[in-house]
Amino acid sequence: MKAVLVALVLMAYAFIFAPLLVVVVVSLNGGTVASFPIESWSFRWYGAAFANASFLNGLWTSTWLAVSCTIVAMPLALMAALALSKVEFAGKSAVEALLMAPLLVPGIVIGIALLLSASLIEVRNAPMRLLAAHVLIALPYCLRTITASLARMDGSLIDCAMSLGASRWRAFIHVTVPLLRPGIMAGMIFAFLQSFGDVPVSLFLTDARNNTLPLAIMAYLEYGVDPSVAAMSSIVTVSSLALAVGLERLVGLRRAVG
Amino acid sequence: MAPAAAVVGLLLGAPVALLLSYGFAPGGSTQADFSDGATLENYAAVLGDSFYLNIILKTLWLSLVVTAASVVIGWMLAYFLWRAPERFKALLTVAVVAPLLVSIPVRNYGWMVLLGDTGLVNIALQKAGLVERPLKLMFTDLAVVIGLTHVLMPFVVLSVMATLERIPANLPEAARSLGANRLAAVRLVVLPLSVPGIVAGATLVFCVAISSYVTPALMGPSGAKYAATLIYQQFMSTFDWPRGAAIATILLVVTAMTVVLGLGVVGRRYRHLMQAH
Amino acid sequence: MSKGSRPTKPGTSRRAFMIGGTAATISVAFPPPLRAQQTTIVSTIFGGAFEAAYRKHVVEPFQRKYNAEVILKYGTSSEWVANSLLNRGAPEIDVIFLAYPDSIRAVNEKLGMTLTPEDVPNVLNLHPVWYESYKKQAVGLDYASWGLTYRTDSGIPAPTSWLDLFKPEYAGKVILPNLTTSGGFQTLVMMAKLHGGSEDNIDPGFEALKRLKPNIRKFYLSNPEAGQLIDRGDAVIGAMYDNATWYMTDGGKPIQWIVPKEGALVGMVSLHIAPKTKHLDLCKKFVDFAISKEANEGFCNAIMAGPTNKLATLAEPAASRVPKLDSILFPDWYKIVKNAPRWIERWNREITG
Repeated sequence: MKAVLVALVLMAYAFIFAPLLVVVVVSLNGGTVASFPIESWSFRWYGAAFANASFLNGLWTSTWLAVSCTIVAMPLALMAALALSKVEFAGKSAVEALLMAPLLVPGIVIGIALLLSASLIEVRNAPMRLLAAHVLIALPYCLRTITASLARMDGSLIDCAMSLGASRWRAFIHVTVPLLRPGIMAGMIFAFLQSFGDVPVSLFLTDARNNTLPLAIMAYLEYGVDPSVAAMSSIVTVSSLALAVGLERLVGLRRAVG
Repeated sequence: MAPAAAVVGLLLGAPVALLLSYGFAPGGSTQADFSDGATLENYAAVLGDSFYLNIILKTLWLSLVVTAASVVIGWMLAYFLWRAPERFKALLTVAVVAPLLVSIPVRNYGWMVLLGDTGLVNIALQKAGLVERPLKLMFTDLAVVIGLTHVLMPFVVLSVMATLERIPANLPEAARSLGANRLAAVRLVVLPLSVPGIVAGATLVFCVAISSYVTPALMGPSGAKYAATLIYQQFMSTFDWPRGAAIATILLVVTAMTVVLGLGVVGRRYRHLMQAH
Repeated sequence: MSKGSRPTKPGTSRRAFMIGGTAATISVAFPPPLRAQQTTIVSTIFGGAFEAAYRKHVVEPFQRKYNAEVILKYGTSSEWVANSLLNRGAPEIDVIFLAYPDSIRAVNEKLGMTLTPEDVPNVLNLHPVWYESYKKQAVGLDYASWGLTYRTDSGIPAPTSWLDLFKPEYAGKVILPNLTTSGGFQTLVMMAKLHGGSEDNIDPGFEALKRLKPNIRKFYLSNPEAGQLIDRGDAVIGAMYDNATWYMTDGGKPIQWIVPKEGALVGMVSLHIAPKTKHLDLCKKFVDFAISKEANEGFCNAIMAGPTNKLATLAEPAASRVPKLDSILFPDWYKIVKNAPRWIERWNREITG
């Protein structure tokens, strides 16, 4: 039984990693056109990726966007989830649905809608527009996962803490939040991933100075498919894995996940 | 506190509502011209046309398949990670999501190498003598299901893990000590307790799958086969924004109804598990 | 939370971290405004090799000559048109670089101001078609040619005609652009004309494509996709632009491009100036510079495109690869754009449905 599970899990990981492995192999191609199988091996495309200003700019923009929108969206989602679970009020399901709506609307519609509104109220600041848009698309993810965690939370623990003398605020910080930690972490990870990889929403809201990495890559690919995009992608993925290992050693990441 | 969250959500959601209101204006341009009043012509054109209805139904069906596949694979991975030794847990968890950091066009190239006519899968099948001519795997609905499941399954993994972590680690053992075999312990004890996580994950997967544009466009069959590609075409090629807005609104309503229906079904069966006490 | 952990200090770090983190990240996102030494204009560009050549031969020399800055925005023509429509009153893009059919849409919507020889002296040096065909609201920058790309190792003799696409040997191995992809309208109109139709009578085009369906592997959505399909051998022949193909040929791939005997169609990118731009003078200078002999020659030689300036001459290898202007076919883009919504509807149902 255990062997079956392990075999299935290995297959699942193989499925997850298959396209990524192809990308890594392509990034090591010595030729000028991205192709497979490889004729010669080289690290030159990693150098090319690092030298590409639009990739680096894109990486920077995508990273700060993803981090910021996660940090902003999470507390908002937390507050909303708590309120929705505790309070019954007329139109509650409508509010719930509204807060989930960004998921149901194709990214292109959100992108055009936000550009339209930004132009109407003359908001020209691209970082701000991008941040607002990404918070909008991050919110539903955080909300969903926190709500799920809430469902498993034993509310009596809060009452317990308060009856022992803790203020509402302390009960929140020391009891509620830690109990919700898995849901919070899951939501933050989803929010980060969606923001980092977003294409349709960001399309309309980037300006010439602030471009996201997926868009920079798509632009680059228009006239010539060379392995530097594969190198850039490999760098991003391998660094995130390395970051996870590093954080685990330093901070004990397992506590955040579990 | 809560009002603040609602206000932010509404503030950002209002632009979307504004654009969707274009659906009630006469079509044919990028403007919403309400000078002759609102009209339902876009809705009539879409809902009265079996071609459009088929596209919406197909998108719905595809998203349900992706959701089912993601839940099955995702739950299994979540269970495995929950039982995994502490040392490896974080790394294995990040390993589930790390490939998602690869940008879509690059990931798509990876799939082309794997699933294309001269791709690794076809080469392997031909070498093994299982097929004579390459199977057309890319640019099919199947490819879209594979591509979307690949990207969305981690949502189920992390959502379910979040609920599993709340379950005492010795609960399955307790069940077994009461006479249940291993499989029953999982099925009757762990699985029901993870339902909120499954629901959260499945909802996310379904909603994202149904409004997904880039993956179906890159990996799916040519043309506007799915709702999101049709909507994109209306906005960016035909430049008929009222029509595009109408289709987007219909999609939104259909999806919301499906989610409410699904949650209703699950909610009734598992009511006692879904509420916070 | 594991048992036995020490209680954290009151007023915890989580909240403070989040506030601090948000403040830090947001403040980094809005760097203090630099004192502008130079005027800056925003324009648009396709990426990759195209961008590299454009920067080297047009943008950088311009920036040096006029001590100005040109910032380039990426995306697709349709996005830039949508952006310009939404920002008409206060344009985000000063000089809009567009391709067919979006350039014609822009002309129809008056997104570009009328250009005169006083504004842009080099207009007088252009082949007239690159100015007149835009109703004097834009100028053409360089032309690409729409023909046949094929693998030389397919075992099938090299194609010579558009009608070769119908050969049964090519079953399942042909790629054509989707109607809404660059080159899509050219293909449909070409098919119509080959079978007795035109922009006004498009039925023969649709009929022909329906007959061609069994040969089609995919209607591709972008240049890179087309390139990948031919490179991987999923397709062995397709309709593509010349400059996108030469990139692969020069990369050592067994891929060639030819002008079919019925002719190659034209693809063009044009420059439009947004009427409400704040830097009108600089925009005019930029457009003038981009279509000047030197810039045009440098750029077109680099990406194997056809120059629009009469005085510009191409060197090898571009000279023998780029079809002469008088040999290229010009469809009526105004009719195409007018019919586009109906054709797209039909395409969805009859061709890809």
